[in-house]
Amino acid sequence: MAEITDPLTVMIVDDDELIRRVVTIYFGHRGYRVISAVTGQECLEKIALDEPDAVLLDVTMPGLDGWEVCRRIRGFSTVPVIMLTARAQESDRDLGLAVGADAYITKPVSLKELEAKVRAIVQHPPSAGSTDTFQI
Amino acid sequence: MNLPAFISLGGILCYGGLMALVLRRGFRETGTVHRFFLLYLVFMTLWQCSALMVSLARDVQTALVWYVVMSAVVLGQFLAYSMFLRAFFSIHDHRLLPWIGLLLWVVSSLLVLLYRQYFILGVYWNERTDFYLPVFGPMTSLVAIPNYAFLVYAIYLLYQGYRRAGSALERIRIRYLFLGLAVVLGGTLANFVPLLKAYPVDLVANIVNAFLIAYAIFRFQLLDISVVIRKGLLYSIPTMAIGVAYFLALSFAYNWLHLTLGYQFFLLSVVLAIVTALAAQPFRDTLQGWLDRLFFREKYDSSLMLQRLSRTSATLLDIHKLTDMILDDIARTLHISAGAFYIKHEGSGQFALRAQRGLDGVAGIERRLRDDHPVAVWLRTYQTTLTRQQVDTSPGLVGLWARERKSLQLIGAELVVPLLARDYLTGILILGRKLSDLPYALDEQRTLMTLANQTAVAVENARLFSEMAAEKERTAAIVEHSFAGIVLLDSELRIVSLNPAAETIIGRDPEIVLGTPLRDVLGPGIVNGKSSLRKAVSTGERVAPREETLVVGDRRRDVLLGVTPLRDGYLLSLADVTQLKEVERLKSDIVANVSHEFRTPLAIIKAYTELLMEDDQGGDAASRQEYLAIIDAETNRLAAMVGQLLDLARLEADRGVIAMAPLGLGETVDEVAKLLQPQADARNIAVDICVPRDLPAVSANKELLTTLVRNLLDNAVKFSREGGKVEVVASRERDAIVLHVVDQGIGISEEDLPHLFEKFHRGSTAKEAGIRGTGLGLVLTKQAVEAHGGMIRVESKRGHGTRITVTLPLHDGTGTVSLDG
Repeated sequence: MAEITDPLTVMIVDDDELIRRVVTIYFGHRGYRVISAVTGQECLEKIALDEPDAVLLDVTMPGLDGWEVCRRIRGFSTVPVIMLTARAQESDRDLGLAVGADAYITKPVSLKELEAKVRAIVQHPPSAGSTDTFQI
Repeated sequence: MNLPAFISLGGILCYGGLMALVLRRGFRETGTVHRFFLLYLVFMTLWQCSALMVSLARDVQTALVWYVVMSAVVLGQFLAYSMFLRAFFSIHDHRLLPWIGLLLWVVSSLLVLLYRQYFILGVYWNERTDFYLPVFGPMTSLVAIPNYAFLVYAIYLLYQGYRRAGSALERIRIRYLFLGLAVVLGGTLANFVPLLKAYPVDLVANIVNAFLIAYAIFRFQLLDISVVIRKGLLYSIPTMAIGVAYFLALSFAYNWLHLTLGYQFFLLSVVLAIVTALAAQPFRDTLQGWLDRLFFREKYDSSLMLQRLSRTSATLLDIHKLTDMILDDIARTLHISAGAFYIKHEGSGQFALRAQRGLDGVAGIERRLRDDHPVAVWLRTYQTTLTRQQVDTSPGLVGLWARERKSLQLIGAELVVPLLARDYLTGILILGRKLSDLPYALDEQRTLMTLANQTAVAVENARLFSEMAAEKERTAAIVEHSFAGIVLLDSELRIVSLNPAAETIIGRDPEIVLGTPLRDVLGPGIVNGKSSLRKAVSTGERVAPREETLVVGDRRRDVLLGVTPLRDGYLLSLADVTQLKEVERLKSDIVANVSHEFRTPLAIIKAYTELLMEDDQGGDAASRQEYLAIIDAETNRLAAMVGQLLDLARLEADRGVIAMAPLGLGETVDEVAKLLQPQADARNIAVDICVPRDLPAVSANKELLTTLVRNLLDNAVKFSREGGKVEVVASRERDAIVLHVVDQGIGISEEDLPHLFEKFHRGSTAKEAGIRGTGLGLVLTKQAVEAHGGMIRVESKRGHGTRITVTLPLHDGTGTVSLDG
C-alpha cells in the first residue's frame, strides 16, 4: 500500500480564473494542497516559497509564456512540470520537452487523467535519481 | 578523183551510217517510221552509187548508162519521201496512192531505160568539174511529172501535219523536215542554174536532208530550228557586213586608186584585212549586242535575269519576298503563265507553298508537298530539271497519287526545277506553260538550273533565317509572357536578360540591373554556401526549384528558385511564392489560434462537468448551481465565438457586393436597446438614447447594422459599473451620420488600445473585472462599419469609461455599394 506521508502540493499556473478554480476544487477534494498563480512571474516566486511537488503550467499566458517559465524553473529546480495548453502542434510538444517539461497535455483534459498523471509523475519522478517514497 | 566522186563516196558512207543507225536494234525492232526512212535511205544510196559511177566514168557510154540508172532512181525520189511522210504522220487513207505512185515510177523508169534517147540526149564533158554532165530531152520533163506531183503531195502532207500538230515539239520536228525539203529543193533548183550546174549541189543537199530527217526522228528533245536559223543568219550578218565592207574597200582601191594587180594588191588586201578586223571588233560586238537585244530578246533577257537574280537574291533574307521576286522575274522573262514555288520547311519537314503566280482562284492545289513526294525523291536522285513528259513516263513517278497528279495538272506543270544547296533539296519550282505554248528549250532549262543553283543557297539562307526568326519570336513571346521569372546569366554570373515577371520579383529597373553581377542585385547570399546557384555552378547540373528567400534592398521575397546551366551561362527560374507563404502562415496561424481559443471554453465546460459528475464532491446545491451556471456561460461564449467567426468569414466572402438599403438608424437603435433592456435593468444601468426623429437615412444592410449597433451597446452595458449610464447619440455631419456610444465603465488600458481590433484580443481591464468575452466583438464591429463605407474610432481611459464613434455615409440613392479592399 502506498502511503503518502504528507499531502502533495500541486501548483496550477493559468491566467484563466475558471480553470484555476476547477483545478483547486477538484484536487482539493482529493487531498491535495493547491497553490495557484496567475502569471509566470508569480509562479516563479511561489515555487521558491512553497516548493510544490508538481507544477501544472499553462502555455499561453500574457507576459512570460509557459516555455520561458519552464526554462527558468529548470534553472533552479527539478520539480516535475506538466504543461497544459490548448495548442496541439507537433512542434510545441518537442519544444516542451526541449525546455525540460516532464509532460505535455492538450486541453480539454479530463481532470481524472490529469490527477493520475500528477500522481504517476510524483511517484516516479524522471528527473530525480532516487526518492524516499517507494511503492509496494 | 573529182569533186562529185568525192562527194558521192562521202554520201554513200553517210547513208550507210544512217542505215546502220536505223538498224541498230535489228530489223524486227525497228518501227514503221524508221523502216520507211530506211527505204528512203536505200533509194538515196542507190542514187548516190549511180552518181559515183557517173563521176568515175571516163567514156561517154559508161556515163550514159549510169545516167540512165540514176534518172530511173531519181524519178522515185519524192515517192519514197512521201511514203516516209505517210508513215511519219500515220496516214492510212488513200491507200491506193502509194501503189499508184509505185506503178507510175515503174512505168517511167522502164520508159527511161528502154527509150533512153528520148530522155537523155547525150552527155558532155565538163572541164571545170571533171566529169560528164547530161543533156536532157523534152520528154524528161513529162516523165518527171509524177515525181514532182509527189513532191507537191509531200509538201501538202507536211503542211497538214504541221497544222494538226498536237504539241509544240511536234511542230519543231516538222520544221526540221520542212527545212530538209527546202534544202533539197534548193539543191535541185541549182541544177537549172548554169553556174552551179556543174557542181553536185543537189547531192550535198540530199545528204543534208537525210541528216535532218534522221535528227528529227531520232531525237526526243530538239533544238528549236527556227531559233537556230535565226541565230545563224543574224550572227553572220556582222561577218557579212565586214566582208562586204572589205570587198568595197578593195574595189575602191582598185578602181579609184588605179592600183595594178600585183604584189601590192596582195599586200594591200592583207593590210586592209587586218585593219578591218581590228577596227571592226568593237563595232562587231556592239552590233552583235544590238542584234541580240533585238532578235534574241528572250535569250538576252534570260542572261540579264540570271545576273539580276543572282545579285539580288543574296541580299534578301525574307523568304517570302525572295521567292516572290524569283518567281516573278522568271515568269516575266520567260513569259510563263503560271508557277508555284515550294520551299522546305524545317519544322514540318515538308515543302510549303511560298509563292505562286497565275494560280489565283484555282482550287485543289496542294499547299504542302511531303518530303517523300515522288517528284521530290526524283529531283533528289537525278538533281536536274524534270519535264512533263518525264512526269508522265518516268517509272520513278508512277507512284504519284491521283491528287498529286491533279495538283500538278492544275498548275499546268511543264517543268520542275530543283533548288539544290549542297545536295540538299531546299526548294521545288514548278513552272507552268509558257504563254507562247512552246516547250522549254534545253538552254532555257539549263538557264533555270543555273539560276536555281545560284539562288538555292540564298533561298536556303532566307529559309533558315525566317525559321530562326519565327522560332526566336516564339521563344521571346514565351519568355515575355511566362509568369515565372526568367533570368539569364552569363558564365561570370552577370545578368544578361530578364523577363517582365523577373523584373517584378526583383523589383529593380532592368536598365540598372542588366550587366551587373547577380550578387550585386540580390546580395551575396544568392551565390554563397548552400544556395541553388552555387550548387549549379559547382556541379554543372540542373538544380530543381527550391524555396529560397531573396533580399532586394529592404524587400524580402520568398521564391521557388531553380537553376539550369546552359552552354554559356545559367538560367534562373523564379516563382514568387511570397503571397502563398503569407497565406499559408496566416492559415496555420488562424488554425492554431482558433483551435486554441475554442479549446479553452471546452476545457472549462468539461472540467466543471467532471466536477458535477463526482459522487463525493462534498459540495452543496449552491455550488452545483454555480458550476452549472459556469458551464452554461462558457457554452454561450463558445457559441458566440462560433457565430462571430462565421459572421466575419461571411463578411470577408461577401466583400464584393452587400445589399444596402436606406435605413433609419433610430429604429435599429431602438430595437437593440429593447433587446438589451433586461441586461441593463439587472445591473441598474440607464440607457439614454438621443437620436433625432428627422435624421436622414443611412445606406445600410439591416442585418449588419443591427449586429454593429448591438455589439456597441452590448459592450457599453457589459463594461459599465453597477448603476452607471450609457448614452447613445446620433447626429448628422455634412454627408454622414455620426453615432456616439458612451459609457462610464471600466474603460480600456492604454496598452490594449492598439490591439483592440485584433482577433481574440481581450483587454486587461475586462479580464480583471472577470468579464469573459470572445475577443471578436470589436473586430466584427469594425468590419461591419467598414463594409458600410464608414469609420470607427475608440477613445477610452482606464477606469473612466469609453467613447466609441462610428461614422456612416448617408444614403445617396444607389441600392448597392461595391467594396473592394
